[in-house]
Amino acid sequence: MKMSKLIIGIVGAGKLGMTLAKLALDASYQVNIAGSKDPAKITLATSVLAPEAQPMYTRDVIEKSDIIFLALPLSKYQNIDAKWFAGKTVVDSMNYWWEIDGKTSNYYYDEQQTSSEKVQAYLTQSVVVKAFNHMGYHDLASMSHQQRVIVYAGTDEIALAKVKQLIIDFGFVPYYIGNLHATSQLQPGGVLFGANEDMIGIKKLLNK
Amino acid sequence: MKIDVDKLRFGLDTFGDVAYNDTFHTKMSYRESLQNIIKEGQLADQLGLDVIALGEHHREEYSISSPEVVLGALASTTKNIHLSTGVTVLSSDDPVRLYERFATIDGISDGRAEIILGRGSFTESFPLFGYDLKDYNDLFVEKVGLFNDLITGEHVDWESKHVQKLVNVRPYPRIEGHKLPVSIGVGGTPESVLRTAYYGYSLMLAIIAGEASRFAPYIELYKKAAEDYGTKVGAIGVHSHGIITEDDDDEAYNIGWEYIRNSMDRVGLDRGWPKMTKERYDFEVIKGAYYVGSVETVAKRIAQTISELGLDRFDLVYGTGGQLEKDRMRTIELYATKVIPRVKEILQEANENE
Repeated sequence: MKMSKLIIGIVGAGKLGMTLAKLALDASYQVNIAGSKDPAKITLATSVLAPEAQPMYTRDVIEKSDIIFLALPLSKYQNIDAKWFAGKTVVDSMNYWWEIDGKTSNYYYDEQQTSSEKVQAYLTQSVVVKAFNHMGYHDLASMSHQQRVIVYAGTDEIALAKVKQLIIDFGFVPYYIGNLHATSQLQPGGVLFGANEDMIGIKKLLNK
Repeated sequence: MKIDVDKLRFGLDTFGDVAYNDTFHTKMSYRESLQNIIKEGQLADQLGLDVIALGEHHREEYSISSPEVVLGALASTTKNIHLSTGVTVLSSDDPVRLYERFATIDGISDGRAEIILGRGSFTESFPLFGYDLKDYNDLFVEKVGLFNDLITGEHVDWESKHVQKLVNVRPYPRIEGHKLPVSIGVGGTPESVLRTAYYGYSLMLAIIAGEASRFAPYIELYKKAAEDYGTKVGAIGVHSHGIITEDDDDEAYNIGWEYIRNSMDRVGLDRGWPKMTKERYDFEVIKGAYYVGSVETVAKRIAQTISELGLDRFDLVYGTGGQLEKDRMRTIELYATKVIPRVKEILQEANENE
């Protein structure tokens, strides 16, 4: 048993959001979750897919949780007021997916900035850590406790330690890759995008 | 789970992957591919398969972008097989025209038309027909509402943001004698499952990766939602890729490693995911979403999926990545004549031992 467990907030109640909620619940965390609208709209789905997670409005999830997962389409996070996230640790689990976000990838990331750096640039009063983005949601759902690696990135030591612990508690092996700029390897087109590997496999992909 | 074997339905699905010529191993022309798919559909009918479902894609590797036209050709040259799309990309289609096209297939085929609606995992059709991807979800929500009114009502009034306003409309020809059977193809979005239950439609789970058992919570959600909405629980089906050989597991494995992998890698190229690893492919073949192997191997795996999830329907996607004409035909033939009877036998045995 941990001394005191963080309260997990999940913004996004789709495939990924529900999967993360379930992983957190299985690891005995308290979980708050929000869809894009009224929490009543996700009560039914939550009751089956992530029972015991608390459906709330997005603003409440952010306020009432210690660590916030962004699990919504990349084209939607800027609809949420950045001020709501002030002082919070934010886990960016989003990916650019042209079939949802549109064909103009440059808006979401470019040569200079990864999509996570852009998320951090938007959330000026929060600390962003990238994690749980490179593995498909269906693998996340079925591959915990099988020595699979979740690669994470960021610079804030305290936030990184929290996320590392979450990765372990969710049943995965943490691998630190560097600052948010290094997440170019984790996004679409990067060598680790889609990776569902053990440590040997991850190191092989990184030529290490 | 106890399965009512006599009520099980087995389908054959294709996206219209262009096949390869047996002699020269070269890709068929679109003309040859379309004619070949008609032959395959006719074979499926002769062998007694319950339903054939054709996907709608607007990509180079596929010859079917207008599945209803192909179904029309099958309608007049087949006798019993039900004729379905899988899926119709509703968001970028016109619900009224859709009604008219399906009423036409239903008329020609004497009541054998079915439809699987979906948001589609490919979205090439959006810019092609002048739709904006950012309306992806709203378009589907509005159009499924209108389509439902069209197939359930006599005269329809409609007004919503993304769809034409209709006043007292009655499209022709009419679908007569029955209500068009509708399924929604679901890839794992909880909202889609709820919508399927809301309209009392059948649920078609597209399982293209991972273990089938991970979909059990979605089935539970579907049933619970139907109970909440007071709608009828429809048929629950799974659609997955497969290749069947008589008794050589390795031969099927190798065909899949060449063609299924190629097909997935091609899609991956667009989406920025890496090439399929041998480990991933092995996982999918052994316990995941690929039903690849000999008659006995595939029958066991299909029976397991049906029993684990309590299914009413199983659809095998054949010809993934193209494949040789003869290998496609062999999969269809073995599926219908050997695998399905064997699946029923296995499930019957399991029922008796329960």
